[in-house]
Amino acid sequence: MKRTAFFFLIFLTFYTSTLYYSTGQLFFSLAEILLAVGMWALSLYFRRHVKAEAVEKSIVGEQGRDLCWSFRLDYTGRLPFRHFRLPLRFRYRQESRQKRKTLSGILENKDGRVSCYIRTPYCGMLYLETNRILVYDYLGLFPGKIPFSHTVTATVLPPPQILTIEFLSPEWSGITSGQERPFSCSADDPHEIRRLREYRAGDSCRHIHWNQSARTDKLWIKEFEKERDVSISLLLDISGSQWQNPKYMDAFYRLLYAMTLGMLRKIPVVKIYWYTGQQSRPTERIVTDESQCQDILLALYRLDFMETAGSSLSAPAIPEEIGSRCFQLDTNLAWRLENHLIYQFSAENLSQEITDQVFQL
Amino acid sequence: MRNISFHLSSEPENPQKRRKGSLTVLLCLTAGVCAILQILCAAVDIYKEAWIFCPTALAVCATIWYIWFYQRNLFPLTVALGTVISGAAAFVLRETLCSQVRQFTEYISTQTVADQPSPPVTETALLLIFPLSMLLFCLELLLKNHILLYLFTTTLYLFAPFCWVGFSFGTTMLLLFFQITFWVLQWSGGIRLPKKKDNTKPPAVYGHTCAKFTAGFLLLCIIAGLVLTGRYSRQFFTLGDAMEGFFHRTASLLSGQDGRLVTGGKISNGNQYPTGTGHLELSLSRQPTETLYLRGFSGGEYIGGDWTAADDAEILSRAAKALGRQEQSSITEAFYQNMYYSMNRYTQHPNAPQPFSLTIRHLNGSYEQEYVPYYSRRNDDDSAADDGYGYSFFEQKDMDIRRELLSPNAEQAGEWYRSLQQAYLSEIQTVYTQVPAERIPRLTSLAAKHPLESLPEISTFIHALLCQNAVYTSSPGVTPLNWDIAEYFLYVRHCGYCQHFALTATLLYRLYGIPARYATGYQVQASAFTLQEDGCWQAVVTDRNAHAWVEIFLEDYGWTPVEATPAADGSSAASYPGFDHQVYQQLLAHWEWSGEPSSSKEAPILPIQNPAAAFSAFWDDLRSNQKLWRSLWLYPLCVLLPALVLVGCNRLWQLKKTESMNCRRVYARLVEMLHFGGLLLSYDGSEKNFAKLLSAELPQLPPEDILRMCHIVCEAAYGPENPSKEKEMLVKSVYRQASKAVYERLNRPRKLLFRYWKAFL
Repeated sequence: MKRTAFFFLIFLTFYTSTLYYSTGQLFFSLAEILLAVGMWALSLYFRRHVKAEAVEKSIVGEQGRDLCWSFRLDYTGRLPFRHFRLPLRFRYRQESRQKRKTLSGILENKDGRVSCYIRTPYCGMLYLETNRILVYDYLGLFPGKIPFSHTVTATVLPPPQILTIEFLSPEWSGITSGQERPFSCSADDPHEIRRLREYRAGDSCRHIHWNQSARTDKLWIKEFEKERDVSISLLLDISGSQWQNPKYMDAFYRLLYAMTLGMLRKIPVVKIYWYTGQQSRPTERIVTDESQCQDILLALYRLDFMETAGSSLSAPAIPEEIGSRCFQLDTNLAWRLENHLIYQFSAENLSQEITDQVFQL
Repeated sequence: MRNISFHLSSEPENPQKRRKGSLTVLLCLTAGVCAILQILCAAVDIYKEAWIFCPTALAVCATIWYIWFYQRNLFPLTVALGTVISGAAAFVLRETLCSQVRQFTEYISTQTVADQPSPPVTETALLLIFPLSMLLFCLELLLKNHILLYLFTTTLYLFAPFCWVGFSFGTTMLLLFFQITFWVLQWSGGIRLPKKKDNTKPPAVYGHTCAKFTAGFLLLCIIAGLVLTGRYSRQFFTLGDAMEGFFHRTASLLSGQDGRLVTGGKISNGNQYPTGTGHLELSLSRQPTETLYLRGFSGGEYIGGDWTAADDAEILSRAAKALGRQEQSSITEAFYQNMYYSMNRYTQHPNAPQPFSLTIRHLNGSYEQEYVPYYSRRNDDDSAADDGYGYSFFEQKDMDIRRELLSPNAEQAGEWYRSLQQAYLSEIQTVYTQVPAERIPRLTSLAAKHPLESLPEISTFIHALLCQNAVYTSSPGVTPLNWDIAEYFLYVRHCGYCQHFALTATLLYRLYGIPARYATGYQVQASAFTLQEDGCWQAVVTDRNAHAWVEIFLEDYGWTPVEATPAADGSSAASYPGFDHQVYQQLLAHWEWSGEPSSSKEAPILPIQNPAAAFSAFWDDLRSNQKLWRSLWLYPLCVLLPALVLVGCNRLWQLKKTESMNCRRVYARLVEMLHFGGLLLSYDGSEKNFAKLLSAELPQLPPEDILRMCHIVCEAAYGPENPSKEKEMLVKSVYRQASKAVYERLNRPRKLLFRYWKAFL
């Protein structure tokens, strides 16, 4: 547009100069034509002397904060080089259509390191692609194309919000202590010694309490308490029609993240299940801390749409091995316990709901 | 829906190094203000006033630039002060300003008033400097919008020739410098100002380098442009004409305008680009010997570039009334139409040539306009024909009306012919000698300066004037809006085509009291006719045959065409009964003709001969302008005086600020002063041995005072309470002693900087 306007005005000046035989205008237009030729030569010069080099292929960041992707522009010329443009194509993993955006930049330093700051409104997996960088002359009239084929995967994680869940019902007493626990606590020793008894024939040598036996000159056997299940299960229904909508999937990921962190404050282990494709058995992941929760999100981000599309559109059945006390969360943000709706979250007010709501179960 | 936002950034090499106001910015700003002022001044041809505009613009721009970059907190005050001063000046001079603006507008719109002095607009232009500088400053530096100013200045420059405003090369260079350098500064991020609370923005060092490089390259382009303009301007203009011709012809062919017949009396104010499309097909009964003029239009009144159609019916009605036959005005008109043909036909010798029979066929099929040969009669039998119409006519050489040869029974017709001719001639003496003198003051003045009476003299004068001051060309360029075409043709361009020659000749004939009309139609050379199989002579008339000429009224001939356009060799092609070329030459020799208009005072500003000559003329003008050279000393004065005042104010302000500082700030300033003086460069004042080292560097200062000062500052920084007033005074006292000691150690230039720029002392 700028180039068109510039040349149109030059043409108009030249044309007017010939209409009125105005040498002043002829001189003006000739000087500008010569300048334009010089700028064209300058863009060729820059094209020869600028090379682009990628620094990183993947970046991870938090939603709402800048993700920084860096690359280098190595310039070997002697004339000062300033302006360049980076045409980008980008899409979320769920989206089929790429969007385009051209970024303008000015090279301020000689080491050539350029940072591209990306702030995404949704969490998920974002793919950025570029195939060239355009370097410009000082008037920005002529772009010189520099090949720069590069793809960057930007993983955008949800912000750390925690859903407040209180397990008050007596049915949860077996698995919760009622005390808030840090996420780092894990079930180090689920086999607690109930009592010691004297040795009976047939007892395993492995269960002899050697210290007590040495002190009393009798063989004592450790009798263990029966192993308890101290985990909670969450079945994800990712078969919904919202899978292609980054806005809804963003809400789903944020809610899952907040819910899992909220559960981990009360329960040492959260088991997360989901079905993909035509699998008869669900995928199982055990989460005991925040980093494992992020791993789950990464695994979900990487799920192919085709895989989820093949799964049943109706809510998946709770597998037998999970047991009866199983939470469910679907992409419509409905949170259920044994198919009974606990709460229907909304994508618009999710942050407020997560912050304000206290769920007493 | 929310979108992903992107932002590209490369970290600056040295974020601490902040570049403030650049001289490039100041020069660009001044160039822009001066260029716009020069364009406005060029409109009223007051280049010589530049001696006062340019230094004033430089002073105003420098003040704004300095205040903005170095004394930002004084900027609102400066703007307010400037506005108040400008407003007060405008109020005091309001009547002068109104008068100047009115005169300026009149001058621009009516360029045609000859020898009109340039309106005095100096006060207005001077008052424009401050708002113009502020406008440019706000757009370029605050809003960082160059495109608006680029478009505005280019449009101003582009449309100036429409009002016949020519520029000096200096104006063009200033404009180029302003447009291109600011463009580069904006595009390369050269103009970056730190926000009040944001010190993270990078410096604009490379942007200025780019701008300087481009300015240097632009200078080369300007030199090359000057050389090209000087050497090859003719070729470039020819190229432009060829381009316009191509577009014009293509547009005519595509829109079908090429087949439109010549009608009306509008004078073209541009170039002529015939396409060669056939308009008429003529068929003659025998081979012609003279050029055939087919008149389609005769001009009555001239209204600035346009002729109204001659109203012969009205004139004949008045003539009939004068003859006492007002009830027979329609018969009179019908009689008059064929009068000269009929009289010639009835008074011929028996062996005189027979009239020609002409059939005219319009190739576009439209017969709304008819083309009439001179000394003719329309053949009534062709009146209803859609396939052309016919005329019988005599060639000019065959016209020989001898009333004595009329048969006795036609005596009454002969008498009627004589009286009608006299009455008509009497009427046209007032109608066809009218000219709008106010529109053509130069031509009116020219006729008044050369009083002539006889038709041969007048014809000789007019045709010699045209031949010696103008040449034929189909591409004379466009006439500016505020010029009359005839005067621009004769006094400025000195070239044109038939319409311009005929227009000027008609106006001059009328100015000398000779009834004359501007006529348009087709001119067909005798050689254009070719013999056909059926024995007739045929010619195809194209738009290349479209022509304009002058008609003058001659007794026994009526309206007679006079060729005003010179022949191919530049000589006069005028020929009418009674015009003698020998007399023409004799008169020229007698007058010692000098071709007055071309050497008149109204020399063209937009040069047509040689641009290099124009440049040298500009340079000569500059050199001869003693006033300008004498006033050159004003330039540094205008910059120095405000600069000195600003520096003085700055020093006083800084010293006052230092007096009101607390001891920690005074200590920081002391360290800054030491660094400026090249002392303890690697120390920042927090070192344990700083007092000891300072005592060693400045032995004039008591070491215990220095030590105490350091203690006081430490106490101020880390102690529970602020130091007492006495302690603050001690720190300031040490600072003053130190500043004197450092000052003594500096060389003269650094002393000046130390005292007046940094204001340490």
